[in-house]
Amino acid sequence: MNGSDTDKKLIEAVKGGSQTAFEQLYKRYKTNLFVVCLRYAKDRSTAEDYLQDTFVKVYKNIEQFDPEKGLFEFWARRIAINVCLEDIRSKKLYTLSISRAEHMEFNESDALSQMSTRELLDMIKTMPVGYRTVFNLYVIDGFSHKEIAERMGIAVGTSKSQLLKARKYLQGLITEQVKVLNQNHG
Amino acid sequence: MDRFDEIWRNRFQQEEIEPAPWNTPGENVWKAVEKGVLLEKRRRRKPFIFLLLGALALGATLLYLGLQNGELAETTGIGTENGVTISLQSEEINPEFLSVKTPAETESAPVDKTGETGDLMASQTSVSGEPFISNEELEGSIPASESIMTTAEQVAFEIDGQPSAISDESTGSLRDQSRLYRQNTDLMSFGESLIPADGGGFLSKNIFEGSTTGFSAIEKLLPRELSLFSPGEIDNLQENIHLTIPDNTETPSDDLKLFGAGLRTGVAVWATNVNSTYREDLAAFDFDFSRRDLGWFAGLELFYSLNSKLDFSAGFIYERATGSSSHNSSLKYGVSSEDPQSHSHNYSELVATPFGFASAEFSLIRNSEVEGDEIDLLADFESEHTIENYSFPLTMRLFPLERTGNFTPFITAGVGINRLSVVQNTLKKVDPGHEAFDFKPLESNTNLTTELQQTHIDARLSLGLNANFGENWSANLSIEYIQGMSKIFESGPYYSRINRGWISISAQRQLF
Repeated sequence: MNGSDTDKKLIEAVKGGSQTAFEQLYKRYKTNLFVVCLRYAKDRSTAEDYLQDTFVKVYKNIEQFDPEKGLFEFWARRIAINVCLEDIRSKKLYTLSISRAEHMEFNESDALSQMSTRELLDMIKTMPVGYRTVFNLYVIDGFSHKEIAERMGIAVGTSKSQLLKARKYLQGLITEQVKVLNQNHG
Repeated sequence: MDRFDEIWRNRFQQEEIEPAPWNTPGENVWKAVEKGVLLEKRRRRKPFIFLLLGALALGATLLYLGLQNGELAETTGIGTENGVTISLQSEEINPEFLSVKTPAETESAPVDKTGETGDLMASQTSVSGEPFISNEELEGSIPASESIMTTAEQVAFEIDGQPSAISDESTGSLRDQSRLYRQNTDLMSFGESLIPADGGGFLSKNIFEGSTTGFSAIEKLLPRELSLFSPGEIDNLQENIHLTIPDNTETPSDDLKLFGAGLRTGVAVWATNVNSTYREDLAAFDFDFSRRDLGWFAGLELFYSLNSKLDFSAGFIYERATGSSSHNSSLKYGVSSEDPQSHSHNYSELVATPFGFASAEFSLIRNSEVEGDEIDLLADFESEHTIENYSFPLTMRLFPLERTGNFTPFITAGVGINRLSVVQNTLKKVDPGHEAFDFKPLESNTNLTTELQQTHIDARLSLGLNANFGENWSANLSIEYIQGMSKIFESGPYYSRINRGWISISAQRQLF
């Protein structure tokens, strides 16, 4: 039985009211969804709140999920993103900030690929919320600028400019880290 | 997408993220999720709660209406066993003009003057039985010179069509006014016997001929026959009406008790009925479960006697039963990854039960050296489940025979509204099938309440024997079959039903 089949059975059981099956679903996906929440949240505590709301929404809307139309993880991930965006929008957290490193160039992709996921996440979390949200939505979660503009209530041009600044911000961070590493090795 | 974006996306979207402390949410998150889920379940259950409340409200309304009728019946002192009943209600009546005599009294005192006075709400005249209603008898018993003088404003007839019976009290019954119009046909024939179609006959002469006003407005509101006693028509009658009563007159019981309460207890057999899909899917794991679970129940019953043969009963019963289930499952034991201090591994496994999967945590302790690093085990799981249920039976009890003797058989039928409060599964044993490992339970109790369709309906049928002790006490022995009408566990294509068998004894007391 592969993971998808297991998901289907668990989801059917959850639809039938099984709390145990829902707990199994939680255990299977809590890590991946928590990472999604960590990417959007300003801190761990907020991410846990996002995760909690995500799973409650998953339970409430499980009847609407059709395993034939897609994977549960993608569906749940969308819910997690929506939960994060709702909070960010409701608290006006996406007030766009200026970048502190617009001038930096990125040419250290090798260094980036050698970094751990946690290090990447830590870099994301240092970004201003506007950069972070647009970067997450566009680069990692695959939304278009039009979709981002609609979801965040901003102009498409603003989304594009925020993404550009986010990229430069991250590239600057990575460049700085590479320099530090080179100095240490040198 | 440039390489920069690709690296980010791959890292967070496509690559498997290994669980680590930094990406593992705290335990409090699941607890909060559970609370949210429970709230959602409660919200979904509201319709069932409303259904339950509606059923209770309906039952209460029926009881209330029954009580109202019962109070009237007690006031009038007449039971439904009576035959024809004529009840007169008036603010004022001259009792000399209305009296009903038993045959003996009629013989000895053709003209009865009871001397009773007062309004007719408290002094109603009941006339029962068809045999004595004939023109001849009426003509013979009511002299031409006699008349009825009353200011009656309301006349109510109740005819039951049963063999005649009459109360020797000057009161009548309004116990079941709903039958007033059902029996209109009988009443019509009764009226027609008093007023022949040709307009002749005694009453038409002695009652209607005296009228100067014709039919009054009140007559239009009443059945046609009641105009016999309309105020304008009967003012001219001067004497009493004497009605003969057959010898087989049945005097109703004066101490008929309508309400009662009792305690009920007994043993129960819970028959778990699991659909074949559920069994087949788990057949590879040797899934088995107890088809018959033994239990007990106890509770309170209230009943209301609709008549001498029919009771309505409602109750509250607590039930408890215990069953078992078993299956096997494969486990792996890694020697190198075991706890070095206790030489053990902790496991969290799903245990199959007829009511869904229960999670169970246990430990396997290695007590001796084994070959290899990873041992494949085929472990046998045995668990026990305890079921607690609150049942609210609503039944009708029929006594085919009159409750006259000490022992009377009865049959009951009805429905039960049930609430499963607890289904707790306890892991009793895990046999790893390997001498080198011992089982130690950890958190082995799982409450399956949230997995169940907690509110469920059943239909019930029973046969029993009622025994009277003294004036107000009775005992019952019955065998009851309860068919589950709704599933108590359902998950996708899998479901379970519960049927029950009860053997019960109860003690009941008539209260008022």
